[in-house]
Amino acid sequence: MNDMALLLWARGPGLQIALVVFIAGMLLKLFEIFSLGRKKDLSTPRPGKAWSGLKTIFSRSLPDKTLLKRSFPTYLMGYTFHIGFFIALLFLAPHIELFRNTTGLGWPALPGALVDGISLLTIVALLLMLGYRLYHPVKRFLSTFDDYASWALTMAPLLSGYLAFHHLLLPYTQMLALHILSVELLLVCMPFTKLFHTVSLFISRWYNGDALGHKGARL
Amino acid sequence: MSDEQSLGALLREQGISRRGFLKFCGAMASLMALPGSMVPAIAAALDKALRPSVIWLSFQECTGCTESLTRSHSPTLEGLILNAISLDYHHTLQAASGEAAEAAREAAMKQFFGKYLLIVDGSIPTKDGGVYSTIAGVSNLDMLHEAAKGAAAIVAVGTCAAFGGLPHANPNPTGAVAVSDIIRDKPIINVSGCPPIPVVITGVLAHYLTFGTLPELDDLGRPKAFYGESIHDRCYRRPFYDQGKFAKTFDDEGARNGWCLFELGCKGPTTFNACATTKWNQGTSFPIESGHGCLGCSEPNFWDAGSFYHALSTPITPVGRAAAVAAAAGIVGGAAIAMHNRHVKAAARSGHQTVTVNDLEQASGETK
Amino acid sequence: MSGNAAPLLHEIAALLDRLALTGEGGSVQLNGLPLQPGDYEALQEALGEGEVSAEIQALGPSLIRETALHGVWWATHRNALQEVVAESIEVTRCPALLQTPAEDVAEAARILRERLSVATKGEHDV
Ligand code: SF4
Ligand code: SF4
Repeated sequence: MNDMALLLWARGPGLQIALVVFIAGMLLKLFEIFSLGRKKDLSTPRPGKAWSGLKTIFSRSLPDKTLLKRSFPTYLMGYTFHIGFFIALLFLAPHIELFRNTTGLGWPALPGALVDGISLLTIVALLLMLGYRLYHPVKRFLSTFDDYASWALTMAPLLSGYLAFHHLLLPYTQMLALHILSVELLLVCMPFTKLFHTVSLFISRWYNGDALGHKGARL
Repeated sequence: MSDEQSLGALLREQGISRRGFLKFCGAMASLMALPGSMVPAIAAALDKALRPSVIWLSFQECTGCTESLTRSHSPTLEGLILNAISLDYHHTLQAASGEAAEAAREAAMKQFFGKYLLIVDGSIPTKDGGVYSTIAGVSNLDMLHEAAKGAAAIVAVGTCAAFGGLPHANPNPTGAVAVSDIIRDKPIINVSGCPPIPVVITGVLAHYLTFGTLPELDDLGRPKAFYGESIHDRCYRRPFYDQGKFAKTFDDEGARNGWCLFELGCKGPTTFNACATTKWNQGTSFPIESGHGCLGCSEPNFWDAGSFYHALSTPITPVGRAAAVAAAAGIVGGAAIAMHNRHVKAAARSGHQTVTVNDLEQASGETK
Repeated sequence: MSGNAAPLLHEIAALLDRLALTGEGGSVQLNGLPLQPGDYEALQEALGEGEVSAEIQALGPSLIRETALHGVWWATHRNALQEVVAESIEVTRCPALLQTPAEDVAEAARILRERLSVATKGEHDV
């Protein structure tokens, strides 16, 4: 198979397969979670409970002061990575073109050089995170295969995208094909690894917030 | 017919001076993307080179490649190159036709066995024994096999001969394939493009004439001197790509300002060809310069690479249906799991027995 | 200066250094470079117009001019239809195409002798 054939496969059948697995898998998982249900809380809710679930979805995105002090590197690298990843995903012109083409929604792009710099930062943050995970005894102890697999699945599109953008290492066509394939792999694995947190975090935050609000805890 | 006359002697006979010859060699050097310092060496080699015999076979094609070659920089450069080779068979260009033409081909194949250069344009249909394209009653498939046997090398001119091209596009009713899919034991140079840039065809011939060898090829068998860099690498609109300035339609402000055509479907980033530097129509311009994105014509399967007007980063097949099917499957599967979960829960609830402290004490007493 | 003119001028400067030091210059092929609109004019402006200008009629006209920078020549080769087939900047003390090929010198001597012998033969006949 030549580079172009690989690229065309990635842009055609490969994408179809990945999307099918991704969408079906995500829905399956969501149904599974929601159908678990929760026991009815029979106690009277405290005042101010109404918005606590929704509020927590947002408030938990901000660092907790004590935790921030205790594990600053984790926070720093975590924020850098997450923000950087979304900027690269959502504001590089070719990516926006993909969204426009598939969903009809489009928005202005950021200059390539800016996205490029941010991507590099993001890659560095991810590398440091892996290093820290391996170095820190507690983190290492808690890490499972899922953690390392998720790390690799996330790193692959970033790295291949960066290399493709700069025409490094492999011919551009081949690197672009690998980049798209790595994203497809990420999509396929997302419902079945801890990467599912991209969706489930909203559910769990809402649930926690709602439960705490019910008890009248300060959020 | 070929003779043993050297190229230099031949050109001088035609009244071309040594300075003219040197100028010709300089132009050849720039064609082959060789440094000017090599001109004396090229001149010396070309002066002594013997006219190679060339057989040109046109298969399932549109004659666009031959048009491209004969409409180029005429009469000097390509004309000279064509004079410099001995074109023993080309059924569009040669004067002879019918049996006389086929006889000329066979004579040349015999006389220069092992030495002639075989040029092929057009793809080769292989379905149903190759009946979909024949010359003088011989299928293209058989003719290629036969002509390839005595060839020193094969030049596949045009994307059809190089990669299958248009006839090979989905659903490929004739089973069309590229030369390299059939012939495996001969050096093959792919001069792709739909059509290829004329000077690229002559550049390859010039290289062969000068050095008697094939130029350095990339992994798709294309000469690196011309296909070494992508259109995007050499595109003058590249700064706009880097700045994220894109034309959104063919007549908006961005288009008028000459911004990058990526969003209008330009395939320049994955297309390797010399258009951006060598240009078309005697170096006048190239498609992107006149406001149209690159179609990717020098790459394999470019007809099947999705719309010419959709960005390279978009899917080549619509994803809506697949997404809908997946959603349906996910919902059905999810509902099944939900039902199962409810069932388990209901069973647990109905199996639930209330236990009092007395019961527990009793139970622990029993086990003692 | 925009685009690709500046790097080309740097290359020419380096070639000039080499010419001054070793006597060997070099050339920059202009066709085949990704020149942006305006680059070409910027180059011409930076190099200027010099003292020598020669036209060669061989396979169409070639115009070779020395620029205001001594040792830097601008060569434009056209075919019989006036289309540019090659264009380059040569860094040399004298472009190769202007010099007479050695074989042509020998041939010229032979031709002249031939003419002389015809002429002297004619004289004797009188
Ligand atoms: S117009 Fe095409 S080749 Fe030129 S910079 Fe834009 S994407 Fe690349
Ligand atoms: S710009 Fe692209 S599509 Fe057009 S001729 Fe060149 S390679 Fe082919």
